[in-house]
Parts: sequence; structure tokens; C-alpha cells
Amino acid sequence: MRTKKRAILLVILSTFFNSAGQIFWKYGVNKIDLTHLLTILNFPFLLGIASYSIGISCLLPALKRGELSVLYPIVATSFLWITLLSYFLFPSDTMNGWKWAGIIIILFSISILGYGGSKKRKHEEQAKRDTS
Amino acid sequence: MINGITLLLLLAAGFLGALATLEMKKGVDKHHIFRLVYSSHALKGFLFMALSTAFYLAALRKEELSVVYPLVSTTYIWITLFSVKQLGEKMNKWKWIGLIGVMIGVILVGIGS
Repeated sequence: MRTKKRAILLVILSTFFNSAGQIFWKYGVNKIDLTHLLTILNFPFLLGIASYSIGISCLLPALKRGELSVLYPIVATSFLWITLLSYFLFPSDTMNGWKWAGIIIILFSISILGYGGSKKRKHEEQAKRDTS
Repeated sequence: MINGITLLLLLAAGFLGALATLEMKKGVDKHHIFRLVYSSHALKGFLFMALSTAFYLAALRKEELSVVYPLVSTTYIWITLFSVKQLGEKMNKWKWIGLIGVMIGVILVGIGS
């Protein structure tokens, strides 16, 4: 099976919503007061659950349309979203050379993976030639 | 230095995370997405994912991200192994380069954190 471009885009979209969900939870967890259990229903926490649900709804149809060995490593784009979002939203999180290098290498590697996944295999090409 | 229990927790989290994704993939391949809730794959996937997350969080309380990320990135090795052995996917040199690159990237982000 060749991995469709749409599947790769869906996985990237899914990681974005998952990362946003984690950020919302990080905000929401601080608002939970264990003596008042209803504080678990605070707005950022619920927003996090919604965001996670959108994320998983993007991931499942993506898995249907591609190879796991291509799509799963693409989930690592969540490192990009998390690092960027926390840099802008949490002043205590700073960037450094290691993080930048890691993110750039991840993005570059994902492009290579996508390219590798879209390549037709030799025997598939052969089979196509045989039928035509 | 990382202690033995945390090391085991993280390796188990990586392995279970890969198993969970494998079950999800098997589930969507076999069933229509809206019928997924009825399949045993979905149940197993959910169970493995819950266990994996629990182990991961337990380890996070004790260890720095610079130790946690490299160990959890063993998931990529398991996923590739399962994809080839169980799903019959073929690897090629571009996929190998991409895979190893992603792992190096994850480890670097961990070192910087």
C-alpha cells in the first residue's frame, strides 16, 4: 500500500490537536481543587478533551489510508507544536540549540520518510507493466 | 543515574505504546471507523495505551526529559518491527533514513529539555 498524501496531512493535523490538548490540560490541571471535585470541569480542561477528541478523529482515518511504518514516526511533529506553543505560552520554557537542532532534524527526517513512503515498489511497478 | 525500575517502566511504556498503535491500525483496516467500538482491537488498543501512559507518567515524576525521551523513542523501533512482521509492510532506504533521523531528533529535543 502506498501512503497517501492526505493520510500524512491528517496525521500532522492530528498531532497539532493532540499537542493543543496537552497545553490546555497543563493550564487546566492548575485549576483543579481536590476538595471541590467539580473544578475538574474547568474550561481549559474541557477544551483539552475536545482537542484530543478531534486529534484522534483525524488519526484513525489516516491510519486507514497508509502504512504504519510511515505514519507513526510522523507523530513526532508533536514535538514541534509542543515546543513552539510552550515557548510562546509559558515564559519559563526557553529554546536552545539542542531543541532547535532536534526539531529541524525531525522535520527533515519526516520529509524523507514521506518521500520513501510515496515511492512505488519495484514489484508493484512490474505488476502494473504486466497488466497494461 | 537512572534506576532499574524507572528504566523498565519506560521501556515497557515504549513497547505498550507501539502495541496500542498496532492494534488501532489492525482495527481500522478490518472495520469501518464508526464500528470500531465493537472490535476487540479497539479494546486492546485502549488498554495498552492506558497502561503505557500510566507507566510513562510514573517515570516522568522521577526522571528528566533528557533521559525519558531517548528511552521512549524505542517505540519507533517496535513500530517498524511490527509493521514489517505483522502488517507485511516493506522498508526502503528512505524510510530507514527518515526513521533513524526522527529518533535522533527526539533524543536531541530531550537533551535540550
